Amino acid sequence: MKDYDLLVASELLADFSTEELSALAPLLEVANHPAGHVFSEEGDKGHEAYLILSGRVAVTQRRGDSVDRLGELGPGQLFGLVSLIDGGRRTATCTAMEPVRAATLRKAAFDILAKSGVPASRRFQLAVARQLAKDVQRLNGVLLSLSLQASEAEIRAALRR
Amino acid sequence: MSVQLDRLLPNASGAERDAVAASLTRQTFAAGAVVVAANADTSMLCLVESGRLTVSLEREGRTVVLPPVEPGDWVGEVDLLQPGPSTTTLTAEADTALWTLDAAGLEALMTDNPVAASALLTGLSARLAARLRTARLPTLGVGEDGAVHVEAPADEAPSEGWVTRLFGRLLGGASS
Repeated sequence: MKDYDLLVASELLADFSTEELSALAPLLEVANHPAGHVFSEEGDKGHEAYLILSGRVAVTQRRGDSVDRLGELGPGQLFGLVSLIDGGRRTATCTAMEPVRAATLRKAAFDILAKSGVPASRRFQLAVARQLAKDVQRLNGVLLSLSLQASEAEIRAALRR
Repeated sequence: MSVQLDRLLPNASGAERDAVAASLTRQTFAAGAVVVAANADTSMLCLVESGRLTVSLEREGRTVVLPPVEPGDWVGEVDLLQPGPSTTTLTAEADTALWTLDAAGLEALMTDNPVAASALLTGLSARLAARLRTARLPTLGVGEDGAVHVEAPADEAPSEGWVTRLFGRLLGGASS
């Protein structure tokens, strides 16, 4: 499968025309990464986001002396968006579980694109904002579930343990 | 009567702020009025000019009241970007003046002034990213078993109201 087909298979870029994808293509650095490759290390400064074209990536987070496996990401999924926006530290470690082909978008390129005003740029910026909103919506759902499972006092008690 | 855009558009030029301001609609609400009802198909960004908004959620008979939205702050960016039934109720706690932007207004701004629209999307994305960072550092995590883990941030000891502030950061408009 060609990279173009893999890109349009992602939810983020599904509505993009061939012309719009062509405008974005120079900003996306597509590369192969071996199993075990660490895309982002928790605590490190991050300046890029990744779109997985093929393969799977494990997401882990340190919790005291142990490591929590938060989940797996696969083709079409994007990670690293928060650091792409704020350039802050990574909140999780993302590691290739198998050979992974991914498109890298660097913050510098994203910022240039955002300021360019070309049609593809605002479409992409809107798509990124919508993805962030969707992620916040998902977290809101988790918090709502949490609020129904326990009272504030119970949560505070749990926090002190 | 002017909209405060310093926090939403911190790096925008005067011309970009003027263009965004021109895309907003001013609305006033008396104290106690419901601005957006839960489950209403009202997807709009609300910037508070004066007064204050109360944000609340109700599920299964329980109500969670989030920190109020004060002048200069805003709420509704998730609904604006992911239109659908509102999950929250917005109520004017006092006589309140708002500047609002709905999805059609955002589309029009993107067409008429893409650079100003880009500045707005940058401001909204920054707020959303801050909320996600709050949730993941290391405030909230979902384990492999699906269980939700909650921890206080290292620099913020568990205290009265901490959970409410966490909800506020994620669900409401307050960014304190």
